[in-house]
Amino acid sequence: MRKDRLSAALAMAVLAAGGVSAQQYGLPELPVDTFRLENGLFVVVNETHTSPVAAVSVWYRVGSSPEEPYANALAHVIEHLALQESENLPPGRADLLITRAGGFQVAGTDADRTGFLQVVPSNRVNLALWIESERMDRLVFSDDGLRSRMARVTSERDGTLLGRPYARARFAADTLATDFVPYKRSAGLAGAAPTDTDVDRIRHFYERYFAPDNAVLAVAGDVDPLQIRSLVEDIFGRIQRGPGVFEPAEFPDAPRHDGERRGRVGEEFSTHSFLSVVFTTPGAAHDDQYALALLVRILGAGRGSRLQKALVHDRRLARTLTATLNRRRGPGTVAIDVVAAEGVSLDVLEAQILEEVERLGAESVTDQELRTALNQWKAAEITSRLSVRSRVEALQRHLLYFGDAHRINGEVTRYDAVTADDIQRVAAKYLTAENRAVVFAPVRTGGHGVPE
Amino acid sequence: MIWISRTSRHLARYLGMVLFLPVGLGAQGGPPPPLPETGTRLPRIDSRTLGIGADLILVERAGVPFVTVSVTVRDVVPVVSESPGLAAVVARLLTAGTTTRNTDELARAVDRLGATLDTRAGPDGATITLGVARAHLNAGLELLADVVMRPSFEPAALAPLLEELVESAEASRADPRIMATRVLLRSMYGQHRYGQGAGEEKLGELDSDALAAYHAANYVPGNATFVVSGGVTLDEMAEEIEEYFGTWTGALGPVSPGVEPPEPEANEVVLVHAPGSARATIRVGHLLPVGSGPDWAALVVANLVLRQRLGRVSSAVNRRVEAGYYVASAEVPAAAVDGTVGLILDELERLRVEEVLPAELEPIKGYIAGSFPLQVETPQQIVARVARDRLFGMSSKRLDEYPSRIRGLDGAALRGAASRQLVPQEAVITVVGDAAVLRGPLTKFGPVTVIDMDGHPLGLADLAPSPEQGVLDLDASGLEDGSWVYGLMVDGERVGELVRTLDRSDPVDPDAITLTSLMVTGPQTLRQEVTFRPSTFAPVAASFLFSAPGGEIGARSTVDDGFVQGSRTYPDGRVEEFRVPVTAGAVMGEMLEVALWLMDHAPGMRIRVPVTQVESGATTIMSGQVLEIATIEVPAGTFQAYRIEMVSDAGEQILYARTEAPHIVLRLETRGQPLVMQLEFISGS
Repeated sequence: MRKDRLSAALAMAVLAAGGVSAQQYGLPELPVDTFRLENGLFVVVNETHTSPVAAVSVWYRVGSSPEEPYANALAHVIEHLALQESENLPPGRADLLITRAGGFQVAGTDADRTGFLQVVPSNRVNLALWIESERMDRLVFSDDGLRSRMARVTSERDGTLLGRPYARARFAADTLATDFVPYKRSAGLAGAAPTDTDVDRIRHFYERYFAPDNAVLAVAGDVDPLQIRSLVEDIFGRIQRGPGVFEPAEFPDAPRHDGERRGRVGEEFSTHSFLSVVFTTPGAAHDDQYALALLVRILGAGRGSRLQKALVHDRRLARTLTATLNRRRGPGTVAIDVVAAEGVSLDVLEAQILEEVERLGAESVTDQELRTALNQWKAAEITSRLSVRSRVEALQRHLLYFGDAHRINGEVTRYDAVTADDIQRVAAKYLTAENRAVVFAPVRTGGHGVPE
Repeated sequence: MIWISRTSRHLARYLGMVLFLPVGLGAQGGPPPPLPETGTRLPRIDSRTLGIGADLILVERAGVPFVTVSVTVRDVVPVVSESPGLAAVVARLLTAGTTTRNTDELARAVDRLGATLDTRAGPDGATITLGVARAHLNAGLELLADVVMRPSFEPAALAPLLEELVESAEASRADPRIMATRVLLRSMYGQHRYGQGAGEEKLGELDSDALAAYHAANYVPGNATFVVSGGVTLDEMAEEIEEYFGTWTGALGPVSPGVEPPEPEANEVVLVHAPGSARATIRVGHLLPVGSGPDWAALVVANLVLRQRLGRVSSAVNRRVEAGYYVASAEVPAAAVDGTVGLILDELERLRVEEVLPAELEPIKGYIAGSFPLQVETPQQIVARVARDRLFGMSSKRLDEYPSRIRGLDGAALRGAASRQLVPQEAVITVVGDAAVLRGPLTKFGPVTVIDMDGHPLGLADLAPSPEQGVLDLDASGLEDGSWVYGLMVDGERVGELVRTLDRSDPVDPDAITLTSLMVTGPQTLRQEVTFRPSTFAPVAASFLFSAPGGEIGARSTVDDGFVQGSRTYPDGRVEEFRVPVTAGAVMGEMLEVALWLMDHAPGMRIRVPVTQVESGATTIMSGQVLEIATIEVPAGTFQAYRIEMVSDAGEQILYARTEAPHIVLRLETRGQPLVMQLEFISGS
């Protein structure tokens, strides 16, 4: 077991002494312990005794796959099967046990992983671990169960695509922007499981990807790492290893240089026109991510950000605007999504956005803008460390992206090192016409459009 | 179809079986028992009175580099008593600009710190909350002081806000849930400010001067409480607040006594007429007769007991500084209105007189106490919780006093609190729905006052009934032979099937139609048969036989010479016979299904059908209403269908009947149960 108490103690000493790092950053290091079971299950533990609460999370490294075209749909079906039932947990029983203990559970599938999370009073962390072991080892497969879960997944996918305003256009823009085929297939849960999916196929997929050596178990909160190790060995130790960790094929490079891509989508459930401008970015582990994260804040976070000010508040061309950095193991995006104000054409909006975007690459941002973005990021980072749920998810993200949970403690330094020149450099590098995808979703185009 | 599940449930109960048995734990493994408590406690709560006169409460989180600071100002001096929405408007405008910063400058200053600055107003006061990194606490407090002490209330910011509030209030009038709650509050609190809602009628009279006057009278340090949580000590925080709020002066002036709520009397019903509505939106509420503080923990537990017992009815206890209230809320088919109100009143009374047994009480206590630490994990959550408790006069030394108090409650304590606080005999019942339908059933609970959506009283002559359809004029002569196969689904999984067959080729009685239904779920089968005259739609005979591994139960009835005559057979071989007079216009067994095929449906149409039970000859009323036309997809295809709600004493069901005649039922859902039936295959019409 790796112990990082020394660095934590040093951080606390600096904090107590009122040193520069504590004053400036305010983020004490998170104690992080890691170990791996013989069956390959990687475990990370964060011990923080601020409240008698613990979070348990398991992330399986599957959400898309070059090996299986329907990986996202199959992983999503298994997510639902796992929530529903296992050998020792009849339908609804897991929910009941967790709720009666005072906790809650959630699950989700995206392009990179399928994850389960429980938050419970700390003396029920063993219950949460046991429930996760049921999911990892003892799922129940039946024709009827599979059919009903597939129906549920399809309906959830339809709800995601159709029930949320502009979701179709957002997913179309994301699909248009990426060249990594597995991500294209999983954008917005776009892939439905084929109708001839049978129990054997699902079971095979489960055995391939939902094995301990393709998973990370993270525990955070009011726990003793030694006790967690003992519990995990006892509860998960006898689970057979699978074929090994799943590594996706090589990711394509970003930025692209093959030219702008444009699409048009019908948004039948929307009342206002919508525009999405998307630039492809490298994977989350790339060094440019730090500058890109601050860049999207300068563009669109807060009333004083460039696009908010120009489009929403000063000229009132847009009802809402967001600028987002979507991070993935492979290529991600910077996405600027705008809902047009009444009577404003999407052409006008696009021109305004591109003008601001080009300015970012041509001129340096001000110190004030950089400081604001950095303070916003730090505040978000601090608040994300305050609950066991967000801490355990942050650890999972660092392991997914970097393969190193300890890296979480160096993030502030990396963000602090970003300069105005870096912002200008990444803007000039990624926010280019050749690397751009633009999707228009005007009101009343009719029909369920697809990218042109 | 509707009575199949009813009959099945009845029979299954009798046989000591449950159709869909929960699966027991597997042979290997089960959930582990709880570990010992870790000993980590929720934090201490410290407090002091500041030199400026305000109270400061701190929940320190040592080492947390974030601080949440809230300022709560009680709403105690109603400067413009006719404008109950004034306090909320003042709160909303605090962050719209100050005498030193306009809206834009204020927003940018908050952004620069990466901070949040929010305001929230409730019936008893307003809370302004700052969330900021510890490193920027000074700058954050300067902004907080600016908005609390120096708001500008610019007319340019006031006008659009008032417009938005009035529009939002207008839109909410169409929502029966909001209307029902509003009428309940007015009925319980009378002219007291808690009964006046947002006061949108008077909003137009507000101006910047009124806002400034309210602010000057209420936003004074003697009427303010600071609640803080994060990495800061009590001394540090007191010093910071004194620095930034040091010029904040003033004490509360004379407090207007205000209007007292009316003395509660016996039950009364206020019925808001929504013509043509198929549903009833119900609120049953009463003021909590004594200060709820000491009983609060017990009331929270009692409320969860009620929630479990009341099923689809939601239940809530609401704290207020002056007088809180209890309310049960439900939205049910019109035909279920009296049953639901009766159930609520009965369960309230039951809680007053019967002790809740440990088997029911302990899991509820476990849930409340166990989930509490999850609700006070972050500084934001802690501040919100403590500020709310303080507003209602509750003070603790530690956060974990509350879960300890919950764990210490037993059945006797719960009954004691319930008997002091719950007064179903004084409850006000407000219902929004079609008064022509609802008024009669509600009279049993007390005098009924009918009003329109604007609150104007209505007389009986104002209530035009909706059209209603029975079965007397139905003619089944045109029906053709056919078979229909339905899948029985539980939580989306197919657990059995039902095959229904219509046959006109009775060799003995050619002027008869026989409808047979066979339902199979695992080892259990239910066979039902009914024979009737197509031209008069009158029953001739009916039977059922339910078979399960535990035995069989069945019944057979015939209609002859003005009597329903029959027998029922029990698993032990016992036979009971009955003979009861025929109810005119009543159908029997699965004839109700056929009746639905033949009726002239239209949205809004009400349905009322007497149904004679095969096993006893007793007649009950099935009633319902056609809600709308919807597109429905079932395995047999995609159809346009009438969505129909049917209610009997056995429960509520939603069914979808094909718009094309005959209106074959495509899907049936049972409220509160996971059972769904859906058409998979049609042979014939």
